[in-house]
Amino acid sequence: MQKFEAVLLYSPDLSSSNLKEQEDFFEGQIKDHKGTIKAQENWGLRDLSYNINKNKKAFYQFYQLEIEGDKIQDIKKILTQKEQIIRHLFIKVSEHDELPTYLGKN
Amino acid sequence: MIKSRDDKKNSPFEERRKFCPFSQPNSPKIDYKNSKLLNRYISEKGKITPSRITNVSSKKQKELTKAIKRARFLSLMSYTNKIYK
Repeated sequence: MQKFEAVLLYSPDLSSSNLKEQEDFFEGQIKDHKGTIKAQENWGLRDLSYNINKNKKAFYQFYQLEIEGDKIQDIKKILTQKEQIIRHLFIKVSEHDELPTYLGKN
Repeated sequence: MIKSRDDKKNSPFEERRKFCPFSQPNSPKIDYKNSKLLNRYISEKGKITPSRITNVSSKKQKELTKAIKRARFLSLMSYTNKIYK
């Protein structure tokens, strides 16, 4: 098991119930691949510095995970097929940072 | 004329020793999520400033560039700061 950080950007057109659905979907995917979510942080609707797929804003979600490293590739494949997820980033870290993060404070 | 070392010491243009802003005790941690900190190390056009100007040590400069590139990918920072007229 290795420690990872994940940041997901959701499309701004989603309603709050739809957003919740998408979050549950991601959490389900992690569980299916035998990982655990240590912490989750909501950065809310933020302005993008540049347009992504003609979107000017996006919902940011931040996760701290513990999962087997080779499972990440499968999860990435599933996330790219989702229209509601504009962008995603997984980063391997040696230690999890303390919460809240800089963006989570505001 | 060649100045001796002692003359240099007393001159008002004495060179102050420069130090790396990330290698000191209780200096900030480089993090791709802290875009406010990273914004200090890019030029007006959005390029990464070289370490010879900012005096960041080569080890920390590597971390810094990685953090900036991650922040750009997540659209927390822009790749280019275009000036619109």
